[in-house]
Amino acid sequence: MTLTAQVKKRLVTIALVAPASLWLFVFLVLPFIAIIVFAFGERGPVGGYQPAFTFEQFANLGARAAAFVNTLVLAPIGAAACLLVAYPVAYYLAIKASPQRRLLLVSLVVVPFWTSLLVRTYAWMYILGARGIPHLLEYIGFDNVRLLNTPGAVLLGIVYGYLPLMIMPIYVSLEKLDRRLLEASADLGAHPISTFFGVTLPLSLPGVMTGIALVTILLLGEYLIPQLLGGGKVFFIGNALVDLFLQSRNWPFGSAIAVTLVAVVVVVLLVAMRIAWRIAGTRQVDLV
Amino acid sequence: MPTNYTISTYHKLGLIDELDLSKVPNFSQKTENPRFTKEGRIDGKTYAVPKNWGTTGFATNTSKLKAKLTSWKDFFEIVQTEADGRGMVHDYQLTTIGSALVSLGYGFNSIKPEELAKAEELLIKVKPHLFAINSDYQPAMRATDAWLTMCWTNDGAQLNRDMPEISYTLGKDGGEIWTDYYAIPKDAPNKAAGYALLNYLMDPNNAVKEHLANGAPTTDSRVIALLPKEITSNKIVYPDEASLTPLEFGAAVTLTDPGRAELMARFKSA
Amino acid sequence: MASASTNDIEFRSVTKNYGPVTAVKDINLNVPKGAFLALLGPSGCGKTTCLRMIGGFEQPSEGAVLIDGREMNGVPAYRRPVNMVFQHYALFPHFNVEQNVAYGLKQMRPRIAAGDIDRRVAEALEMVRLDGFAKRRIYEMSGGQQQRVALARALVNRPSVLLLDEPLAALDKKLRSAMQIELQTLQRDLGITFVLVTHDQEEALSMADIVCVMSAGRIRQLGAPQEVYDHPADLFVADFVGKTNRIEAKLEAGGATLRLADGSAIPASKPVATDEAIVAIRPEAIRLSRERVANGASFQGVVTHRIFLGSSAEYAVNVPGLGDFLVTADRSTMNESDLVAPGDAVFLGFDPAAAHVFPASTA
Repeated sequence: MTLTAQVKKRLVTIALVAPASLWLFVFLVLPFIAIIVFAFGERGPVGGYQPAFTFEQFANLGARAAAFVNTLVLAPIGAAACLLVAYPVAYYLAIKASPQRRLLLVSLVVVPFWTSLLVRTYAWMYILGARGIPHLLEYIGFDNVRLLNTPGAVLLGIVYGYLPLMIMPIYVSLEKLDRRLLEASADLGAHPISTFFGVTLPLSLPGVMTGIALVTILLLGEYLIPQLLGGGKVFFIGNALVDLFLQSRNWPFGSAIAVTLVAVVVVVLLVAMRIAWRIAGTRQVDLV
Repeated sequence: MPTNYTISTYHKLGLIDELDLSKVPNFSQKTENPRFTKEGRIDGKTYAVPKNWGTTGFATNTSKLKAKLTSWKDFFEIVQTEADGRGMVHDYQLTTIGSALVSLGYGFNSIKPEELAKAEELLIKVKPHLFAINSDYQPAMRATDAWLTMCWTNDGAQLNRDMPEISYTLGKDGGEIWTDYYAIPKDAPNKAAGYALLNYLMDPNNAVKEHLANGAPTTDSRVIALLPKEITSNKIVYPDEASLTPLEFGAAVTLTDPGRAELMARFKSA
Repeated sequence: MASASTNDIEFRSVTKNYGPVTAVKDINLNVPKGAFLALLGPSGCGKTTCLRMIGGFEQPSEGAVLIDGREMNGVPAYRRPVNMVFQHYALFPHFNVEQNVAYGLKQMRPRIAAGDIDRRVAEALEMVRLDGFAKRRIYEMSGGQQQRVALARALVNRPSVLLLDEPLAALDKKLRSAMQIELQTLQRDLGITFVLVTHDQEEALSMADIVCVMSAGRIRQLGAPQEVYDHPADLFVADFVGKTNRIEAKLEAGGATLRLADGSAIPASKPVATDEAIVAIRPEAIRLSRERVANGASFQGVVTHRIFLGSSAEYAVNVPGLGDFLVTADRSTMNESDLVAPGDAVFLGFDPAAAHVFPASTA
């Protein structure tokens, strides 16, 4: 009887896990294996893939060093900018807002996800474009101001696009924060600023790290925002991949870059988790 | 529907068959402009017949820019001076590198390392002055974010139709001319239907409808005869024959050359 | 700190409103230096609000709270010379024991030398018998140990007043009794004022030397534990502090005689100015016997339940016309023959002087 119960339990587990596993295997694991195989191959005479076993593609990664550098600089800066904007919002939502207002505001944070990022980024193209804000500036005497396709526009687009992903995990970790800890800190003589840095911030770090990891990882593959709001003048790994697969059809080199990017993502994740674990104490961490 | 520079590659890879023109009686070699049919032939055999053609020039917002641009040399100069921060080049190595080469007096299709090096130098010098590297230039031109851009025939005609202050210019120093073709894949499951469709499309009465919808110029004088005057007299769609003379068809090797792909990557990442 | 007052804490006509709700209404209270005050009452009575107003987590809507003679209105929690042991302790989960205890010392300005902090933390941990646990993580500690960490964390700052918010509520009964004694000893040794909030009357009576019984935002009675227990100011206090049997009565003979619901009469222990009254008598003031007792009040009833408590027993006795009575009998003072069981007919007797008489309108 216990055996059948066990078997039943196992079957239920399998039934629950199977669809997701199958999906991931077919659409994530298999393509990734293909990419790894490609990465050790050669470009065909007119593009595409030609079987081979060579490290040539990886040896050539230096040719896209600028893309890696740009990406590895943009991703943390973008994540940091998101964090700077998101933390006060999350703090207000979780700690300061009244419960009725909180529900409304939290929904507003999520609402932008109802439309695609592409559409929203296009909207920004028009807001920042010559018929948008610069047009209004003409009325107060500033002619031909250019906002679109500047680094500031890219940063704005990134902060705008990824803000909810940063706000939500921080909000959740601040919302879980026991308010009595803040009172205890004040009771023990800590100025509100000391309380923030000594108690609130460290205890919200799991949320902060989740947000940073989430935004950083997505930014490592970002293509759309720099393309639309930056005019494609800054070259990221995403751009390099698009060019290699769709324009110059150098699949093996593109694959090698993709594999390297995945490796970078894994390293970033591990480091982020390690830091969060260390700071927040072992029980608190619920990263990703 | 291969473009001129892909036909030889498709032929080499054995993807397309020689066309049996007897099955396309509506195709008329006599009324076709040989400039365009030539690119569909390899070793005297016809593999593809032309659909329409076009050019790659540049569009200028004349209400924003006072300078008169007539060549790619002008284009790359003005982009750094009067149109600083307002010029666009394609996110497409064929035309961007090709036009840079032309502006320096080299061939559009050059893959000579020393010539490419000069073009790279120019592009990297120009880059900080550009508004964008993007082949989707219509929105920026319409919003007047960009004042000057590399531009294809159809886009030039559309921009000029809606905003007369935007002019379309072919470089007098050269540039690209292109033709899109119809071909039949070697492994097409129903070739008879393919020929039937092709023959239908080669009928001038049908081809003119396609022309009116798409906007790009035709290669067949029978179709031109059926077009309204405002189209045939539009110098953007049908420029003077003389202005086409310096233009070159893009070559297959230009498109697939890894050296040009890497140059483009360096330009974009600079 | 120079003493400006003989009182460590003073409430002067303090009222606290939350919107339309009045949590605390016109409280006046003096807590002398070195006292152990218990704020006792059911939940929602305002006791915690009072404690939080001392701690600086709430500000009075009207009136003033003074600590050591200084008015504290507008002074934030972090500038007050008091420390609190929070309900559920509120220990910092990201710090170990030692870091938790050192937290307050590290906030002090001028800064305390690192060596002094270490020494004082070690002393504090020793005081609560947690030496050797300095490096432990909080979640590795039992409830009782966490309680001691909270105590050490508050006391290490040498506050002039220690506030305790239901500090023992989360502990099991045995640990709770042990901690009660420990807290009392600690308070005596340190000589600082303790203010304890509790809803547990036993806890309040056993530890405090002043008990402040609160209800609906007001003080119902303030006094020594024994006084509050033996001489409850009103029926609420009688009910809340300890157990009480109520008997409805009418006053006769100008208030000297109480006519009970079953028709019998007893003399009133003190005059009451109303016609209707409630007689309250403690369960342990009632004697249980098989024979009628000659002097005092005596009623016949039937035992319906018996709860055996070891050294004592509780009986529920139904008296016709008067209802159910709760009687506590100490086994050491009971005759063997008086041990009764459910179903037995018994007599209840008590000294009318031990009964309290309250106006029925306060019920």
